[in-house]
Amino acid sequence: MGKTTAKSALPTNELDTVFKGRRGRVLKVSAAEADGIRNILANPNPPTPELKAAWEDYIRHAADNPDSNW
Amino acid sequence: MDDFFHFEALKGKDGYSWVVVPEPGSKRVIAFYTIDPDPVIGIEDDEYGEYPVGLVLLQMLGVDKAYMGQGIGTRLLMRMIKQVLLVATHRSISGILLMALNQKAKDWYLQRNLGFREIAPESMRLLLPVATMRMLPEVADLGLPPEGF
Repeated sequence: MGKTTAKSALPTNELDTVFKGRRGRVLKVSAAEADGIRNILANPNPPTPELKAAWEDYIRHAADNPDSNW
Repeated sequence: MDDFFHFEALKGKDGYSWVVVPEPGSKRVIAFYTIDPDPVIGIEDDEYGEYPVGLVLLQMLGVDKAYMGQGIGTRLLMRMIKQVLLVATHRSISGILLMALNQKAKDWYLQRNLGFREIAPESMRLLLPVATMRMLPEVADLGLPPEGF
């Protein structure tokens, strides 16, 4: 990670702030990786029980700590 | 887990990081994640050329050894999922792509079974589609538009 400097907290939709003015980039991948990306996006799995549980834990934690920016 | 986690945004040269500190105002970082400030707008390979797809790149996620085993890393991932869901409502973002630094890091994601899938055998890149995230409980409470927006 590059050298960091403190910055004030971003608003809720913080990725918009990060991506603002950025053109984006094309990622070089292998042919097998490109196939994999297309296949996974075309056939998304439902959330695993572990993902559901982690998400619900997160939602609870964020609700219990509204001032902590979780 | 205590209630004093607080996020501040740090802007690095190569990415944006969100850090967890033990209490407001603390300078001690106990966990963080870093994303690439340039979203992926396409992938390119030597065989088929360029293919448009929007992805958020997770560069790194780490937890201080003293705080490992408390679920902080998993909560950080969930927080990132929430942010990606929010931004995906109006940007063409289809998933989170991460590059595991080593096999141990890759195993961390796969063993937790949080939906990240290897994009190819032996690849260190793992992908979690937005479509999977949208199927999570209570996502509707985030005020997102319906799927397909």
